[in-house]
Amino acid sequence: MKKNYNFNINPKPLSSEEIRQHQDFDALFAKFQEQEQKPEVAAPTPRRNNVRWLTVAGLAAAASLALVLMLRVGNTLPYEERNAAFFADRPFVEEPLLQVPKPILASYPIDAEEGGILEYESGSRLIIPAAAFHDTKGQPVQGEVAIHYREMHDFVDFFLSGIPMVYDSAGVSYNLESAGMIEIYAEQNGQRVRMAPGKSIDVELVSSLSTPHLNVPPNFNIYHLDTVGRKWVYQNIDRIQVLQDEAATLPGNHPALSAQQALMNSLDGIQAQEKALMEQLTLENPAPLEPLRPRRHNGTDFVFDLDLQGLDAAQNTYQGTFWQLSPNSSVTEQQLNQAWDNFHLTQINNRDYQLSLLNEQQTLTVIVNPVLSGADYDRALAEYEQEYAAYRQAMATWEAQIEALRTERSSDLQTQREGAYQKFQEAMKTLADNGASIDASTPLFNRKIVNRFQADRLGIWNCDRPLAPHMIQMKAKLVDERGQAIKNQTVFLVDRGRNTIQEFVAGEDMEIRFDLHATNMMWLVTEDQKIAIYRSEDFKQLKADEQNYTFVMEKVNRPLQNEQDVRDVLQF
Amino acid sequence: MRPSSSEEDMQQEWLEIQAAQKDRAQFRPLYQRYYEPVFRFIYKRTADQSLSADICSVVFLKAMERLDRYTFQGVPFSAWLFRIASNEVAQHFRKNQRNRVVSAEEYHFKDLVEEMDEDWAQDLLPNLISHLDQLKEKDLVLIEMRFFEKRPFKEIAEILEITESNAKVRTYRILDRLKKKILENS
Repeated sequence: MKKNYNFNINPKPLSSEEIRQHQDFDALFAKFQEQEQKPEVAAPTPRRNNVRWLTVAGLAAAASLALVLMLRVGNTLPYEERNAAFFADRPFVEEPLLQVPKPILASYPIDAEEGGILEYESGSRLIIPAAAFHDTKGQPVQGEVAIHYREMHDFVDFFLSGIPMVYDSAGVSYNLESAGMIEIYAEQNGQRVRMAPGKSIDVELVSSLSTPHLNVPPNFNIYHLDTVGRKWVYQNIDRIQVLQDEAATLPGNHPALSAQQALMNSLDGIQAQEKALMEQLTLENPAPLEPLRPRRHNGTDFVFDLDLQGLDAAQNTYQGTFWQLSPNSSVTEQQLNQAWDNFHLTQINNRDYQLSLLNEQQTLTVIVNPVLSGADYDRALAEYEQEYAAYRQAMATWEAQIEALRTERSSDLQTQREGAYQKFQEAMKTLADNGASIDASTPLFNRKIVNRFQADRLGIWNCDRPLAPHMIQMKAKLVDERGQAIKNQTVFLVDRGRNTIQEFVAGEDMEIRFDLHATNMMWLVTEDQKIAIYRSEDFKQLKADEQNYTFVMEKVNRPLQNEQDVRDVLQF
Repeated sequence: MRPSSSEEDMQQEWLEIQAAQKDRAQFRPLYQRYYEPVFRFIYKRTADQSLSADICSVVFLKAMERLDRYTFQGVPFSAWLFRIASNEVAQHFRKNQRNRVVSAEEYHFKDLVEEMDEDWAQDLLPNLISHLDQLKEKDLVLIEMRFFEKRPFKEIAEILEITESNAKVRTYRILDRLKKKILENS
């Protein structure tokens, strides 16, 4: 019998690096241009024994263009351009440590037609509207959808994710300092779904900012990652709400410790007064009530209806409503199933009602939930959408009104706050005058915040601000512990006071930018998937007037199996 | 996290393709994005790195030449590239009158047998391979993409320009035939 195929069982795997060695767009483009000029020449076919056929032939034939390009890339391009070209040739999102498992995203089931509110372990919330998803054909998604969600907060998260933190604006490249990043996507039966046009998820991302000074107002934007266009795309201004200010943990001998504690004590007292003021204001000016999101009856649980004849307002509100016992109720169907003369219904929260049933013999009190079905549910959902939009508008008005009142009535507290800051600044100045060495990039305070924005599509969202590249620039040569030069590898650099990560390509005439007075650390991933570091204490030895420096990267011979291993190696 | 090929991404990519249709220098991001997947696709069918590089170059050259003819119909651009790659591989082996390569891990055969509702045994492997070797190219391609490359039927359908249900029906018919032949021989 004739043999038709060569079966290659358990083939040798190819690395991405091996494949990249063959990748050369400039040569291909030159070949394309050459053919465009000679359309009568048939398209070439590969020849088995001519290994470098296309690359060599292409370069030779189009030397005027491609060779010049290659030479420029190789030698004469400024470092910044070579750096940009290096990363342009890499996958846009490139996880650096392949053996570290991908993070497991939290998964929440949700009824696509109803939407819902999801709460993450950090305290963050996602408010998903009804009918928020479409399938790939543009049809509304019905039934259960799984929402997958994760948060990324610090440089280790950014490093492991492989997500670039660079933002280009008007030809200038900025690093993005993050106040929190999220990834969110939705699936039904393993297939991705997308946001329906006009729908958006309200995101309340709880995060924290490390800040040397509390009186600097945070000013961040919202960006969405465009993985096809390979860029962050500005979306809006981040509406940040400060939840709490906390003192950062400082070592016991830190010179700023007592000034920090004194400021925090003053601020705690002021915050307590502000809290009391806000309670008073909201008592005098109640917030608008959030409308009740209708729930659909699941078709199986026991339900009953209430005779609302003669109660016009209630009849309108609860038209078509069935009631089901709260899941935690200890009352049985049999206890309910008798004649009742009267009832009292009191709303407890957005979900629960207290129902008291009365007859001559007894009073039975149960917690019940309203549910709807069929057209009644559809009608209630449509009404709810309208009411919720009105509610959001009313909330915005209410918040503005409360803020105006708060500003008006808290001028004394503001004066106290400014006084506390002034005392703190004076204490810091005294320390500096007395020669205390205080690392400017060490955060003295943590500000717990909530970033609020609307996500009108799924994917990766980031609350950031672009950092101006005003730091020191130095020509760097990276070598391993044997003195061998390191080339064409991604190098990561972090400043502890800035929540971002910089990336450079190692090689000849490498230039790195950093703040000499900050606490910095630099590392790269070795070929055997370990980390080689240039530590923060070594950075401190660098002098401002040094133009060229050789950085000896110290390889950490510790296996990196998970995120914690990486955190242990990169802690500083 | 790897970029997804959601509808939104495809729409965005269509803008890139349109830009490249006007100016081929704009083809660079598409080349960079798909070079590795296309290379791997070819390598599995040649098991030869240098040959794969040569064919891959031809595939992208042809893609650039034919780009004006590409229209967006909701199918990923990658499927169009894999289709060109598949044709180029077939053409190469036809011209050189050599048998093309089919790459698979051993556990892929186990999956294949289990899909036939049969119990796996190591001694089935030679028998199975000999029957796979007698399949027509158009049938083997389905088995290869589905079981050796673990592609979803949707993607297979997009690459082969057939409907998803047609891809499923044809695959399971081939499995039925294979099963009968294996049982006859056992």
